[in-house]
Amino acid sequence: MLKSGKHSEKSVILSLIGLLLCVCIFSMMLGKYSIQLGDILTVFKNRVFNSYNEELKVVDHIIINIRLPRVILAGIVGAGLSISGSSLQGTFQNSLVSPDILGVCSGAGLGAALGILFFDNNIVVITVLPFLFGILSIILVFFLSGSKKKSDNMTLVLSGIIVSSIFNALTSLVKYVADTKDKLPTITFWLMGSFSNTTYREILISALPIFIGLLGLLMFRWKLNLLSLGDEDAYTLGVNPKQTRWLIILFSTLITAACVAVSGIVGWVGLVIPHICRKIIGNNHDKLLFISCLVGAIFMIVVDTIARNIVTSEIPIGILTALIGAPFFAIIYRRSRGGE
Amino acid sequence: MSNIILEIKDGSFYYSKEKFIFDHINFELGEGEIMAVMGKNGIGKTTLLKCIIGLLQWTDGYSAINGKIIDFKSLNQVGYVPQAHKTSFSYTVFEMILFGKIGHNSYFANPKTQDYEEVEKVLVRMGISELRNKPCNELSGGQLQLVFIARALVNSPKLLILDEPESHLDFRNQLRLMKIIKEYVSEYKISCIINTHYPNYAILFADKCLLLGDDYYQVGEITEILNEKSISEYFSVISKKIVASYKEKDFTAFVFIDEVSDLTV
Repeated sequence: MLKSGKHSEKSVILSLIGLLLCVCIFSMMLGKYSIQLGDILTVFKNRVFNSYNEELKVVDHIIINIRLPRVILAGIVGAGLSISGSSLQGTFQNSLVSPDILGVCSGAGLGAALGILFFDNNIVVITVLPFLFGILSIILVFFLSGSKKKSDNMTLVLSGIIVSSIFNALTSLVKYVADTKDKLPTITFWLMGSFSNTTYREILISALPIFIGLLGLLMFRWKLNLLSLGDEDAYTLGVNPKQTRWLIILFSTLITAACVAVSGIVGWVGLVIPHICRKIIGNNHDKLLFISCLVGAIFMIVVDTIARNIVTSEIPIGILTALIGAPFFAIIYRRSRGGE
Repeated sequence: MSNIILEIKDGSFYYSKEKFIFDHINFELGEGEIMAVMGKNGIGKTTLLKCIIGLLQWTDGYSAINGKIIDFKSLNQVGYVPQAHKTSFSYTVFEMILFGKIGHNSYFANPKTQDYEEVEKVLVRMGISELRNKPCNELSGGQLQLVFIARALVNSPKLLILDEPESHLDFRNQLRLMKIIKEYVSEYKISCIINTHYPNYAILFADKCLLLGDDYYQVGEITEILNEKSISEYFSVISKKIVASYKEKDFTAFVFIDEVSDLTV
């Protein structure tokens, strides 16, 4: 029984990896300039063997410099937001929790708004500032929640709400004073989220914090199970709930802040993907975290492909994740209820 | 006298200085001994258990296991069974019991093959093998209680602490549960503290008894201190002791007759 259970998990993981690859290739084929599957393969072959093909010069540029970084970044952000959603849900023992529960996204939003207002031409600043503000919001939550004595879940969530609302108000203030012709639209579009104009620089900036966060969360995957049973159970089973919770929050924040910094605020993914994964594989965070990464990456790449193909001008991805994610979620939820 | 496993020395606890919950409690518990903790609702039985394992800090005094003060690290020698409660996320019975093995592993470690084998063994011992793949949140309170006990036992504790283990069970299962615990405690020579509302089970299975009152307590051999007088004193209930014989053994029980009315005090 145990063996067969493990077998089916393996096949789920393998088929998801297969699906991820297909989605990546498919996403690179589609666009204003549509590219054949064969050409994509030739481009990669040429790159690997260092050969050159004059006819595929344009295709090579589009694939390597435009679509590939975009697919990679969408995948990373999808995976990151999903795993941090899954982890925080476990930590807060509530499947309604999403990565922005403690105000990370609001903080990052303010960081971006300030960056656009004061340093409009410096793309590095506009990427780094949201990241720093995301981290800042968690530091504020840490001090607001009284750090040591009573950092139970409710105190944390309330502190998160307080920090969020302050940052949201400040963001509104920045928008209010921003130049309506130029800067206000930029801020507004940034807040809606987008992967357009992605280059390898965004990947480089976000890779390190996301990698550290992923590693940290995966390290805690078993302890997360104990934490999700409640503080007292966790303690008696040998997990220090306060310390572990803060470490998980820290790793999730690293990921979320880095994701938001490069993609803008992409809501809904961190809530709906973990939920779907819990239905597929169960609640054991040992497997759930891996599966969340895979499904999150697939979902984000698909949505981003739709975002840049459905109409002539791009639709901000934050709008689409909600528009596609919500009904998808409703269907899954109804199905699984019916199946019970 | 058998080896001492648990020692409570001057255990005191209060939320405010005017009202002590416990004031200098002292007792020792040896190998293979079961102690029943009894008292009225709200007198602090669960609080006492939490203090013993450090979930709440003693205001004064300490609890020690095998001569070492119980701290977070020595908790791997303690199996704590909370009152059966549902969790936000439902895990299978197998996973839930396996969690008993996780806490003291290092961070990256997956559970080892040996851990899985021990879960299998404890499933059989508790007689819940057929539940292994069921989600915990679909179990009855009694079944869930058995799962929690299995989770505590899987780590081979030196001290087993149970918080009202029989509260969700029918009386056949209560008997069965107490028998399993009694057998386990004497087979593995561990100590056990049970927090219970049922004097009749306590006197059947426990060796020692701790009676908690408002600002006094009594501890000792259960046959000596649990009697009509102490039941009236600690529970305000008038009772009659009866003895039934079965297969040449005597079984003591109490019949509860009426509340002690305030006028008689």
